[in-house]
Amino acid sequence: MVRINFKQTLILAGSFIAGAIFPAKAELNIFACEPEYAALAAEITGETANIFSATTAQQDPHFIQARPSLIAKMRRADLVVCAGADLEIGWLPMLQMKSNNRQVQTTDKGLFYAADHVDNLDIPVNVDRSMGDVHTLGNPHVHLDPIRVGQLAIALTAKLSQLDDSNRELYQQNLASFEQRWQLSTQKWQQQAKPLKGMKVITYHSSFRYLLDFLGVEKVADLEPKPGLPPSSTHLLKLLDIVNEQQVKLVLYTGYQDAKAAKWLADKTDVTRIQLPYTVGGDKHANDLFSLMDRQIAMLLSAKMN
Amino acid sequence: MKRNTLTTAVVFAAACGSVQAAENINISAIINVGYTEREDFQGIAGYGVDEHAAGLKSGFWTDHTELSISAPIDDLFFGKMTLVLDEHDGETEIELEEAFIQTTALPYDLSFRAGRFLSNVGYLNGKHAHTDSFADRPLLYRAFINGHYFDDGARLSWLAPTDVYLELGAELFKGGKMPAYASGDGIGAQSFFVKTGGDFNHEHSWQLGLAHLGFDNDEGYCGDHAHEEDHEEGHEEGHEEEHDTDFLEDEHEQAFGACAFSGEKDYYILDAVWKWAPNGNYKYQNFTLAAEYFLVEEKGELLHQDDHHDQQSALLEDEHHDEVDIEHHGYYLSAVYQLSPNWATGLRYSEIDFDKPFADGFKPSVATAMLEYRHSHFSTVRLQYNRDKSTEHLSDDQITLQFSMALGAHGAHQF
Repeated sequence: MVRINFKQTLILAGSFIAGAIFPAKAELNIFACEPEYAALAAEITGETANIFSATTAQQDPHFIQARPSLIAKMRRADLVVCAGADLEIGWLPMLQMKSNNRQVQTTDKGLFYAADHVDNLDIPVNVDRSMGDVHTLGNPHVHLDPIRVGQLAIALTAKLSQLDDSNRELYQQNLASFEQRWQLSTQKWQQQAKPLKGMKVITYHSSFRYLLDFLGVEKVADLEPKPGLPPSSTHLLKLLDIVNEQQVKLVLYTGYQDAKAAKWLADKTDVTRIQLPYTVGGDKHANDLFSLMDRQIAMLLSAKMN
Repeated sequence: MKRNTLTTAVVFAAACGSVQAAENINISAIINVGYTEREDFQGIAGYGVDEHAAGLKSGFWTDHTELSISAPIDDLFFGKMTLVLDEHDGETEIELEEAFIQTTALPYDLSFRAGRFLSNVGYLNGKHAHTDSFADRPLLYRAFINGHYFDDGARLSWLAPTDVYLELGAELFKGGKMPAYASGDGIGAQSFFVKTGGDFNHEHSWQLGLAHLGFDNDEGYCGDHAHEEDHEEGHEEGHEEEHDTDFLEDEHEQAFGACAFSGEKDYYILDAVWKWAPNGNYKYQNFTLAAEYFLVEEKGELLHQDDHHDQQSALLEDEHHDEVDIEHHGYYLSAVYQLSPNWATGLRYSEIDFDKPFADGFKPSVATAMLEYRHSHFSTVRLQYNRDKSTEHLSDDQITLQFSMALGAHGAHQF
């Protein structure tokens, strides 16, 4: 027979309820819109912060639901780290509004937009919707250029130090360590990527814009007829000609983009299709920012050899 | 009406004029037009509803075309204003649907909203109609809250410091809008709501809500804005009368008698939503199952006339107050599946069980099926079929083709 100690049970239940209602708040709570920013925040904070990523590599960050669970997470956030440049415009403002968290409403406090801290590519001179879903602030997928990631690490460290002065030294140390490793890796990637220079590819969307820019790979077209519009058959027929005329080697897409159009193009032509991890968690090898970049370059190199 | 239109136009022009100066102001317009093939609306059972409960109009229509401006006002306040343009019998009505300020920087997880806004009870009510997956609101909403309940008031809401989303809120309203028929002098309606929700895993999410919406009705204050003005200021007469068709006037003074009821109405609203997308990636395929249940209690007095069909004379001759203590139940259930970024389809069923004397065993219902094509995230062409059994002797097959398009700022949507 099991004897239940009433007093112990009561204390246990009490602490459970207290824990649920008043969670311990010693660590910095960081809400990252995407896994790449969770990974970057983890590099700078080490083990000291509580980091949550609102999305996974399998989810298109343009189309996230402002889910109740995300509202609850944002309520507790001391810092929200996102790509910015309107990538999250369909859901982030709703989370901010509903979170009743005054800390994360503006970038002078606990809100950090990566795109605010680097030069964005493809800022349109003139925008209207007939061009598709174009971001007026430029391409927001900035995390795939190692040079820009280096700049982001510095900017994010400054933000973390502003919010959490007591850990300023730790953040600086972690930044120095990250910068050293990241610079070495960046040089390695530049070496590795040499054979990829000038290679022509087609992508699903401009998701890999910064990666291709870093690698010197030339994107000749997108599977999307216009940003945000799904591939259409008329557009794909046009791509057949482009592939043949321009000797396109690869067609690239992410884990959250539909593979159908890429498969079709690969069947009809000599192009090789690859599903490239878009961010941390994009495949089983891409576990952090370093292995993500390693993996992307390795996949591109091996596809080129075939 | 004309004066209203002019004033609004001026306000709008002024607001638009400063757009260039303020970059972060969001301006969006929703154009909602279509064509509906249907029989004339004949009410919902014997319940007293007005033309707003009719749903889609017959023939070509422009309905609920809206213009919305929103922006942070400063570091403490956010503001939003929404104008809705509705066509009624050849006249364009401009209605101020939203004009509110909301705090963004209150301590203790609180937020405060004041002005005119959509009550946060239920699942659909707080959402704008253009984000719905169907061309019209469910029968349940049309019968009991004219499609949506918005009013002048204030809201305080609090997010509990729990890991699971838990929001508690209370609202006070003037009570001047259907289904509140208060004199509008004080507080005529109040609500209390609890919302909770979370994720089952990375691809299944849920939300539950429970709300109470209470109204104090005063006899004689039955219409919406137009009637109020008639009572309070005594001008702009004839506005309401122009719109009402004969049968609606009958409805008003028949069994229901919104004008004739004084007392309390209590709405208890339960809502549940479940959403799914493969890998939580909503872009390609996703599924939404939503249900709401209303329990409506009416307690008070009904001004009763012996002869319904000869009101004017009967009114003078014989009127007395009947004690009223009744309750109605209703629900809708809807399922929407997005097959691809371009295509979505959905089913919905709504049924109401009215208490006597509004229905005697007959339960009005509407079954709906829809198929929609979205060329982009901003344009929807929707084909909808309703099997409408709103009244006992009618079974109407209604077909609608709707064009719903968004111009300008891309607002973030609620769950």
